[in-house]
Amino acid sequence: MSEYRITNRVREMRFFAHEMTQQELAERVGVTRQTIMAIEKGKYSPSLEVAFKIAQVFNQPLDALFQYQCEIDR
Amino acid sequence: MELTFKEKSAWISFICTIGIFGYYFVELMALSGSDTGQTRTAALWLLGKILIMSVVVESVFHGMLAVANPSGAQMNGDERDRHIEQKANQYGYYVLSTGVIIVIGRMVVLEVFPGFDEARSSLAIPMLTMHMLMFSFVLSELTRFGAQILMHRWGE
Repeated sequence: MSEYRITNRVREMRFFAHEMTQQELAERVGVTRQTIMAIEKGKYSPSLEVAFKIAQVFNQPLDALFQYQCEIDR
Repeated sequence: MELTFKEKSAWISFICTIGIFGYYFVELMALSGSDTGQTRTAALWLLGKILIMSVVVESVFHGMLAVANPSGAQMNGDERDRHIEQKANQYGYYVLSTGVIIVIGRMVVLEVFPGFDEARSSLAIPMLTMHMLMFSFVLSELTRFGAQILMHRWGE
């Protein structure tokens, strides 16, 4: 059975955006800070709309922030 | 530990449900033992009191929460909150439908074997069938709010 996983570089992007806070990013994207935290920890995969909004905040293409991997075959 | 508006709301509903319906079932057990017209009337009064209390207490606490956190109230949750709510509703639905199936089974048994009627039940709770449905509903609500709280904490 294959296991799919979406990874992201949101934390890293915040760091390079002058340590933008989770709260600031959340406000710009229109979600709660807890949702940004869950996305960074890989516990929640955002909708395409939110993913595009996050990419827009950092002025990056979507695939620079989110990666989709088929990890394990078991 | 910082909680979102929706998480605080789930905590309020969870605690209110435990408190109010806990009191209800304790009072109801005090009425059990004899299923007479008098206990039925007392059970109906208790039910009315509890329903009013439930609406008032939840409204007051949710109103206080909205006043304390106006931006959260205005936003009314984001997509993750809605995702959590949907999953929690699904768990609550399983509990409620299980309860309903049990009550339907019991009603069928009573229809086929009238000897097992409520008057001869060892519980002798006034309006037992209604209370079994009520208990299923309360349990499903607790499952729903509990699942919301857990999924918020575990970072669903």
